[in-house]
Order: sequence, then structure tokens, then C-alpha cells
Amino acid sequence: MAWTFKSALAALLIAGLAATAFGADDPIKLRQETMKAIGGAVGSLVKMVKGETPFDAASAKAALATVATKAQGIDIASYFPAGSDKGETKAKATIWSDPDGFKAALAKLQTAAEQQEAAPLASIDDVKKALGALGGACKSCHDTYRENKS
Amino acid sequence: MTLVRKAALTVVGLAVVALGAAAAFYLAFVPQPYSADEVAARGEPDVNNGAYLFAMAGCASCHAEKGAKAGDRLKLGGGQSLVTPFGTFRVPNISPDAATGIGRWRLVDIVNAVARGQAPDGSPYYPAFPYASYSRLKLADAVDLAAYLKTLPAVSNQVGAHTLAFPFNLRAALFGWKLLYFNRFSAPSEIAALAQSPSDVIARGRYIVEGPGHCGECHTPRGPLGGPDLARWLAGAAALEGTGRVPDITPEPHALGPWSPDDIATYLETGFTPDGDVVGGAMSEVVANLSQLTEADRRAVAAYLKAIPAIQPAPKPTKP
Ligand code: HEC
Ligand code: HEC
Ligand code: HEC
Repeated sequence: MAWTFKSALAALLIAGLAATAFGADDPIKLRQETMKAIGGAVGSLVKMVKGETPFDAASAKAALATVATKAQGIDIASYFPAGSDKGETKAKATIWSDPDGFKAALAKLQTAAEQQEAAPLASIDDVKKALGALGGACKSCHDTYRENKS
Repeated sequence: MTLVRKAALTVVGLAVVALGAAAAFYLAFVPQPYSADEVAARGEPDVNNGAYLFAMAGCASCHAEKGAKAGDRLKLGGGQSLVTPFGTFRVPNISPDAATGIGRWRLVDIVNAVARGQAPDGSPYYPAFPYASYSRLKLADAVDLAAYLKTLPAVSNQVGAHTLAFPFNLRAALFGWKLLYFNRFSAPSEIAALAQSPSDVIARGRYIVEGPGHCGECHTPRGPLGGPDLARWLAGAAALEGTGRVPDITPEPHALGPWSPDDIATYLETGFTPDGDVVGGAMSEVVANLSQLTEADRRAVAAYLKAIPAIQPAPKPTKP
């Protein structure tokens, strides 16, 4: 009995450790994958506006939904924990020196993404409008909180 | 006694000869200021063209308040600090305010500041003011730009002095800098070769990129004295201001190689890269300016960027 209890406890502990390790293991990868997914969705809209792919309301809606879901999922504590400015990352130290500004920049994206997901989407002009609104939110965060691409 | 005197005289004589030679060199190689007559020959300036060049040249990025939007980008009261390895530059007030700006300057004074790097009293400017690029402005464009500046609102703002480390604080040393880097040979040879065969579109792109657009000021690496490394034209550089790097924009596989001309033109208009990334940092201001140009001009820039030699980026320094 004692043995099963102990091993259950150990199993729980290990599971718990693994879970934290999984979450905290690589916040850098987590946020980069999330940003890439957002970028992929936005990129498909850019292609539509450029005329490289035909306008298609259903896939445009799906792309906007991806942006909204992914943006909503960003939780600063687990995606940008203190100390995760070290390593292969373009996250700038300003994220941690100006947490309120960063929070506001994220909220701006979340609001814009939610609004664009809900907005009517009937023509390519609507896609353009959505991109304009999202792009402004991306830009203002990258301007201040991301290191230059190189 | 006489021997010493003779020797001293020889030294002085040599020094005078050397100075004379340097002066002759300077006059021969450094583009000389425009005269008031040359500027007047332009006739009535085209202020609309001046406004267009103002956007292309990004004057507001430095001379307006940091992050200024819309109409505030036309208030050129200066005051921004540019923090560089040479020290901190305070960007001057170039609004038409008579007391604290350049309201009293003649057109030719403005033209020579922008396109020749020379102040009205003849002293040279620091290259933090990207006049080496602006010197490639056609005279007519420079005059139109100068005339446009005179139509902007006057802003009263007294800007303080630069705080630079020795020897960069010696303005006279800039004569030497100009001799080294601001001369008639300061275009890389392969790129100069572009001028021989270019389509009109590439030639237009070249004018924008190498001249008013001053893309090389950020995207080309600099030597220890702040001059451009022309062998690595647009191949990426350490950011002059702040941290980080500025990317390679040659047609190299890791740089713009995979981008179509259309991708480049779209980026310059909207800030979206082909993979859905979005511009940030110093390039944001550039995109805000270039989005005001005609589609044809953005396509010309794209055509030029696809035509220049591909250069491998320097190995990336890893972040500490
Ligand atoms: C709240 C701040 C913020 C907002 C808003 C934001 N980003 Fe980012 N983005 C970042 C940061 C920080 C990084 C760098 C992450 C790293 O390297 O650790 C980044 C990186 C990226 C990357 C590169 C990912 C990689 O590593 O390959 C892409 C693509 C991207 N963002 C797209 C977007 C798009 C598109 C939007 C708008 C729809 C957007 N971002 C909005 C902060 C933001
Ligand atoms: C004030 C400095 C500055 C000037 C001037 C400048 N750039 Fe940039 N440029 C940058 C920075 C910094 C980036 C990286 C942007 C980022 O991190 O999102 C960049 C990025 C780019 C990119 C995207 C590269 C990539 O791989 O994503 C292109 C294309 C580009 N610049 C073209 C130009 C052109 C054309 C001009 C001249 C008309 C120009 N730039 C002038 C600083 C500058
Ligand atoms: C990268 C920043 C930057 C940009 C872009 C820039 N300037 Fe300047 N400018 C400066 C700095 C710094 C100085 C001071 C140089 C010095 O003191 O030697 C200056 C000086 C000047 C002066 C001389 C002012 C005086 O009081 O002596 C004029 C005129 C001027 N700039 C006009 C322009 C115009 C017109 C443009 C656009 C075509 C422009 N500048 C773009 C940074 C910039």
C-alpha cells in the first residue's frame, strides 16, 4: 500500500515536473512557433491581396481565425518569462524593462484580431482592411520589443 | 644655428607644400558646393516635387520628433538624439524659424548643406547627416526640396550641441573624412557598372536607393572611421544606432534572393514580408515614407535590388 502510494506520488511528481518542464522548457520556441503560425496566416492574406492566389472568403476567414486564436493564446508569463531573453531569440530586453507597454502592445493585437475575425468579409477590399488593421498592431510591437531581423 | 634655421625652414616649407597638396586634392576630389547662379538657373522650383523627395529622402525620420505621425512629421524642429559609437548627435532644427531654425538661409545654403555636406560658413557636416547619399540628388531635385522646406511650419526650438568623443568632436577633422569618403569615386565598381547597361527602371531604382533613399547608410557596413565598405554594398551591417543588425538586402539566397520584385515592392509599401512577417525598428519609418511614393518608383527600387551583386552576409554575432 505504502509502496503504491509512494510510486503514485512519484509518478505525479514526475508528471508535474514534466508538465512544467514542457511549458517552461522552451518559451522561446513556443513564442516563435506561435509567431510563425500567425505569420503564415497573415502571409496567406498578403498573397490574396497581391493577386497571387484568388480571393476566397472561407480561407480568408480561416486565416483571421488562426490569428485571433493564436494571439489570444499568448500568455506573457509562459511565453515571455523573465530570463528568456537569452539564447536564439529576437525578443528585446524592453519586454521586461517595460512590461506595461508590452502588455498593451499584445492587447492591441488581441483586440484587432478579434475585431477582424468578427468583421464582414465579402471582397478583397475587406481583406485589405483587415491586413491594415492587423499590420499596424504587429508593427508597433515589433518596433519596440523585437530586435532587428538580420 | 643657421643649420637649425635651415632645417626648420625646410620643415615649414614641406608642411606648406603638403597642406597645399591636400587642399588641391580636396578641391579636385570632393564635390564642390553649388553656386547661387547654378541654383537660380533651376527657375521656379516645383514644390510638389520637393514634397515627393522629402518623403523619399526620409528627412522627417530624423528632423521631426521621434515617432511623429501625420502632420507632425512636417514640424522639423529637431531635437532627437542619435546615439552612435562616436557620441551623441543632436539633430538640428531645420524648420523655417528665423531664430532657432534655418529661416534666414538662402536656397543655395540649404542645397549645399543637403547635397554637399557644407554649412553656410563653409564648415563640413558630420556624416550622421547622410549627405554622402544626398549628394547624388539631381540639382533640380535638391532645389525643389530646399524650396519645399521653406513652405513648412516654423518651429521655435533651440537644440543643444552634440556630445562627441575626441577626436570626433573636432569638426575640422571632417575635411579629412570628406576627402576619404565623400569623393567622386564613392560608388562600388560593379554597381557603377550597372549604370552602363541599365534599363530605365533600374537606373531610376539606382537613383532612389543610392541617392535620396540613402539605403546604404544603414544596410552597408562602415569602417572604423564611419566610411562605407563599398565591397559589401547593402550586404548588412551593425546598426549605427542602438543594438542589433541591419539585414543583407542583396539577392543572396539568405537575403532577398527568394523574394520576387513584387514581394519587395509590397514590403516597401506595407511592411509585410512574403512569409507574413512584419517590419519593425528603424525600417518602419522608411516604409512609412516609401509608402507615399508611386508604385512605379517602388518597383524601380525592387528592380535595382534584384540587379545588384549578391553578397554573403557576415557571420552573425550571437547574442550574449
Ligand atoms: C506584443 C508584441 C508582438 C506583436 C503584437 C506581434 N509580434 Fe511578432 N514577434 C514578437 C517578438 C518579441 C518576436 C521575436 C520572438 C523571439 O525571437 O523570441 C516576434 C517574431 C515574429 C516572427 C518571426 C518568428 C520566427 O522566429 O521565425 C514573425 C513571422 C512575426 N513575429 C509575425 C507577427 C505578425 C504577422 C504579427 C501581427 C499579426 C505579430 N508578429 C505581432 C512580438 C510581437
Ligand atoms: C535607418 C536605417 C535604414 C534605412 C535608411 C533603410 N533601412 Fe531597410 N532595414 C533597416 C532595418 C533595421 C531592417 C530590419 C527590419 C526588421 O527588423 O523588421 C531593414 C529591413 C529591410 C528589408 C527587409 C529585409 C528582410 O529580410 O526582411 C528591405 C527589403 C529593406 N530594408 C530595404 C530598404 C531600402 C530599399 C531602403 C532605402 C530606400 C532601406 N531599406 C533603407 C534599416 C534601414
Ligand atoms: C539619419 C538622420 C538624418 C536624416 C535622415 C537627415 N538629416 Fe539633416 N541632419 C542630421 C544631423 C545629425 C545633422 C547635424 C550635422 C552636423 O552637425 O554636422 C543634420 C543637419 C542638417 C542641416 C544643417 C542644419 C544646420 O543648422 O546647420 C540641414 C539643412 C539638414 N540636415 C536638412 C536635411 C534634409 C533636407 C534631409 C532630407 C533630405 C535631412 N536633413 C535628413 C541628421 C539627419
